[in-house]
Amino acid sequence: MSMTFSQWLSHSSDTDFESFVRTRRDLLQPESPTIPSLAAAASSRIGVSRGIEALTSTQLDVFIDMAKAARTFADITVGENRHIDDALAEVVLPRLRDLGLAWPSSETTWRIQSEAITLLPTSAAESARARPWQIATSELDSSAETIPTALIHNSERAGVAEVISSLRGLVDELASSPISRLTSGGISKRDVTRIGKTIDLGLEQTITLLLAAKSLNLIGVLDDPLDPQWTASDDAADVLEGDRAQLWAALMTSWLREPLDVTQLAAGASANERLTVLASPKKSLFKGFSQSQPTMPLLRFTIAEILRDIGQGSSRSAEWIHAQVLATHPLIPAHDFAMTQAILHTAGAFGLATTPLQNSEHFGPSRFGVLLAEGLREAMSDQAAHDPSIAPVNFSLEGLDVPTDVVEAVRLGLVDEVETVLIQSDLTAVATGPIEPRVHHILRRFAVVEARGQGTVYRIDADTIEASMQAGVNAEDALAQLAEISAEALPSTLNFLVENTASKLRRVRVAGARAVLVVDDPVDLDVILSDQAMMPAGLERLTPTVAIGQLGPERTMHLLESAEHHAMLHSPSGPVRKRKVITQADPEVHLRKRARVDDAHLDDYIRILRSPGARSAPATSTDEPLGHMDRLREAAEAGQQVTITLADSHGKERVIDMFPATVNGGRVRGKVKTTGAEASLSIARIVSVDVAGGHSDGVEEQS
Amino acid sequence: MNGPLIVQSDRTVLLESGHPLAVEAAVAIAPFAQLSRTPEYIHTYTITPLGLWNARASGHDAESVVDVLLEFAKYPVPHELLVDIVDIMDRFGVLTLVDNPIHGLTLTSSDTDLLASLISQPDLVGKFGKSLDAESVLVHPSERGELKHALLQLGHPVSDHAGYVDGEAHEIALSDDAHGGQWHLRDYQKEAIDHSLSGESGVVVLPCGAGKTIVGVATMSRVQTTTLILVTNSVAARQWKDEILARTSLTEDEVGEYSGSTKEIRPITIATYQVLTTRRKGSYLHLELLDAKDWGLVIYDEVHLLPAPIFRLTASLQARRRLGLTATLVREDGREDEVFSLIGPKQYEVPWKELERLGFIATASCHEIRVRLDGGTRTAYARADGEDRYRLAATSDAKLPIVRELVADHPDAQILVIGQYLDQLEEIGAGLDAPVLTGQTPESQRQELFREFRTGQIPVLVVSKVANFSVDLPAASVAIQVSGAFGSRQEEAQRLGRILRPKEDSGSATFYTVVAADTVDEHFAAQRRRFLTEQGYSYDIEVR
Repeated sequence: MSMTFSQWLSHSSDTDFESFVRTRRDLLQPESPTIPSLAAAASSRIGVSRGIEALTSTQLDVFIDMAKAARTFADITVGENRHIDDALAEVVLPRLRDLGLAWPSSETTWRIQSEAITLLPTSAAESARARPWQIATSELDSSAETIPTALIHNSERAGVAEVISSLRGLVDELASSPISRLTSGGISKRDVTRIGKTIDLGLEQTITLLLAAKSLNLIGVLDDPLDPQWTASDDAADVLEGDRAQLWAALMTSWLREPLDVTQLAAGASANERLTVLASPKKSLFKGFSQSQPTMPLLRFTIAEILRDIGQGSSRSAEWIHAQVLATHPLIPAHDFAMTQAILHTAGAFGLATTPLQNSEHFGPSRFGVLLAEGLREAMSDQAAHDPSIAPVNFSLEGLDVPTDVVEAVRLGLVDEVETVLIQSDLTAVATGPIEPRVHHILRRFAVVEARGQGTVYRIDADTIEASMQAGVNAEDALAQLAEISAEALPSTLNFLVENTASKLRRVRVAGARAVLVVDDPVDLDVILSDQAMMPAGLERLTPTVAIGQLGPERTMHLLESAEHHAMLHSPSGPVRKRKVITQADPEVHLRKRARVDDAHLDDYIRILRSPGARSAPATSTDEPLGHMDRLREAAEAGQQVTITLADSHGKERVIDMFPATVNGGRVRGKVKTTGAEASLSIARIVSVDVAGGHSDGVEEQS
Repeated sequence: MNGPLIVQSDRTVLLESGHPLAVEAAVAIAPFAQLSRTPEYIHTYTITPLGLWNARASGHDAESVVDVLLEFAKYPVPHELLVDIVDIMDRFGVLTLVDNPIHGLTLTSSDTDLLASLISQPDLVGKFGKSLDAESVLVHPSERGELKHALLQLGHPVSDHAGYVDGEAHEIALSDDAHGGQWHLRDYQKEAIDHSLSGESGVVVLPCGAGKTIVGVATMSRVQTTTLILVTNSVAARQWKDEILARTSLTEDEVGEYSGSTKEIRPITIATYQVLTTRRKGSYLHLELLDAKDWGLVIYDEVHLLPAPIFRLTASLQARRRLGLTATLVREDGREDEVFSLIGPKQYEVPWKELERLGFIATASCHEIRVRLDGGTRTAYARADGEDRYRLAATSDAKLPIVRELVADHPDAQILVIGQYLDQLEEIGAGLDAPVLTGQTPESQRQELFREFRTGQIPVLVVSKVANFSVDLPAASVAIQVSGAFGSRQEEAQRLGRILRPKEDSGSATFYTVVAADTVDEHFAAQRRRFLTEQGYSYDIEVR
């Protein structure tokens, strides 16, 4: 008779056993150091699923072939099965064994965990469909191109500077022009595109920065029930004015951990629902094999590692990189090439990757990218040592932090910010370098941004000066503030513009609860009073230079502006209630983590498992589903009858005698003893399992 | 890195004009970057696909462009921009126009898929003849320019190796100091000629007063063929003729004028745009001029004014070498691209302020004087709309006293008063006791008035837009603009250009524009100023 998994564990060599235990740390239960418990955990649907996640595409292809074979016969003679590549299987079987997915059931045969048969595409229909990870490698561009070091250094530094500038620009844009929130919670694609045009970024990069800004609490929603709007958060200015290298690091961490996929957001839909940018999706973004780790962070981490392996100074095609992703994680649901491409382009934009000039679809790592990948790998190893539950995939979100050596390297490459601008007689103000945020805020009172980049160009005109005066700045203050940040004397054109605008606005002043117009020159009032467009204001002249209206100041002001009469609203009506910006706080997720066996206790744990007591100890209490499945499997193997006590939803129990045939998919199937009919029972409903001793052929076991 | 260039991802390049390496950097990027603004501290250049393709056509490859940017950059250069530059420049040379000895004008490409897709483009139907094979297709000669323009718009530049019809040879020698004369070509004029002859046909942009006519004349002497010169009006035609006779070995019999009043077709013929576009009963009457001789060179003076019909008419001249001359390649209708495709790309340009610095044009100060409308006019203005509003403001009576004051401020200067509206000009002329020259002034009287002004017999001349361009009045040192064609930047620059000839006493020139404050006149004035302020001219603004 071939060995069950539990039996193999009991009789395996020390080397094989230890290799399995060290690979599947996630299965170890400190409270139950027994072979049956370990076997039950490995055989469970979750246990098998996580083991499959850790397979490469080559290993997975072999395992699927074995699972297909196991549909017919539990014991697989690898060398004799025409569907299984012998040579490949030789190489792959040790890995399957270490993962607890397959084991040698005899000298010549192997068995697999039965749960794998339903987890993998083993049916005829499923087998007919193409497997997403199988790419025709002969059609791939697998050439390598070199990238000169000077270009790499230029690219990474430029990327860092540009992304910091873009992030600041994006938050600045939202601060000055908040965007209405949709009922879904997000913002429309049109608004996203508009923001992108303002900061000179494509759609996907804009979405990436918006997600990061939200995650870093740089943007939030104004608490206006009538028109909630996305805008800059109250703390955004402080964060953006802080250390730029740290800001970049925070941005990278946020991006690495971002669960959403920008290609789906750009398309407006995932596999399961419509999506809008900044809204929180209700359903999973991906269909397919269930993942124990968040898909997109794992994908980004994997790509970072592949880039590191390509090596600084070299580059490979995006298709080739994508093929490596699928070879490493064939079951990752993010198997669209577009997703890999988007990540590579973003990595480039962030200074982590670069391309040869002649081939923008070949990618190689920058220095920052190499340092980051190495740091992340080290962090994952540390995580695995402290948190064995992440085995066997050995990936954790907590490991995705930008290491300090990367931050330092980035900081060394940043240029100093400029504290003054050059204001020219054509009324442009140019910052000849990354501008200090304080200076930018001063300028924004009086100018609009015309162009962004390493340098920023602002344009001052009559409208911008007027806007500053309507906000309460007088001419003297305006000139003083501009002079403070100007590297040279203010041009005469600017002096004239400010004073001329101020004098124009002063000529007509609107004041009071009902609008009172006060002018310096009676002709100005003549003009206003004779304007048809001003009739709704109901103005009545009191003196040559004073008129009183029927409407309030704001409404009268609006009419004046519409009719193109320059006017100034005097003494605005009291302080405006400052509305609060609500940033997104991630809901606290309380995970009841099982106790795990840490590094310090692992050797002892193995020794206990290898002791005779551990082998013969009963499985975990029959109250637990794991124990039931183990017993049922063994009974199925032996053809033994079992007595199963089931509970229904009301707690009412019943007893069934049956001969179990298969145990998988959370159900046990077999023949009922009394009727001979086929039955399929849910494992979750089983209260207890007793092995009766009879065989499926009806012969009772001799006592 | 710490050069003078700040290279932005939107393809603009900011150059710190005060940086020690500024001049060197400007020279280095000139082949591929277009200068668009030159205010006092930061000059702005733009890298365009057309500019990159021109650079490629002139022998610069992508690697050299990238090297220049990296060498002179102050900060790291956006990587995507570098990739774009390489990609754009690589497209040059994929499509080539050649003159097949058997079949004629042919478009060839080794990228057969691209060629096939272009042939089937709806916008290009009618421009191609039959396909010779997968790599070549015939092109109708008359469609040469339009095809190149259309392909350019689609992002596919064409390398034009089809060459030019040589034209009928004609001996033309310059009378410069190399040939016993008293004058010589300036360095920038030689460079302009070299650039325009080295590649394909194109446009030379030089400030007013910089000697564009001499560039045209010297080009003729290099090419040594019959030449057709297209100009804006008969005054300009006369000036060209005078210049040709003064600067070359050509005689009166060899230079003809073809205008409304005169119809002379000679080895060198100067025609007006207007006469070419004259139609009767739907037909262009004077098109035969284009075929009258085997022209080897066609010169387009003030090419920015090229009338739209001329685009179509002169398409047949595509096989002839063409030279466009202008000081201001801006059009309010945005059709600069058509000029490039039908004449050729910009081949040479010198900033205004650079020539001012070298002394080849006069130093000029610009002033905007704002006057407030009187009460009655303001009320009427408030009630008016559309063009009436502008006219009311622009022709306000409040301007005349200011013009008198300005004239009085320059008692020894030769002053031009320039405006748009004839009744205003008449009134000003009467108020200043100065002659008025408009489009209605007979030709002979015009020439006489210009002569008297040049010789100082008339200190003040009031002129309409007929004097906007092509009129050579070297003695004029003050211009007072009282009204203009709405927000035309090009007109403002051309009017400044009337007074930029270097003065004998090395004096400077003064340009005034009198504007009605708080009206659309002020708004248009701001628009008009733009070109000149981008060239580095600063306006002093005051209110009187």
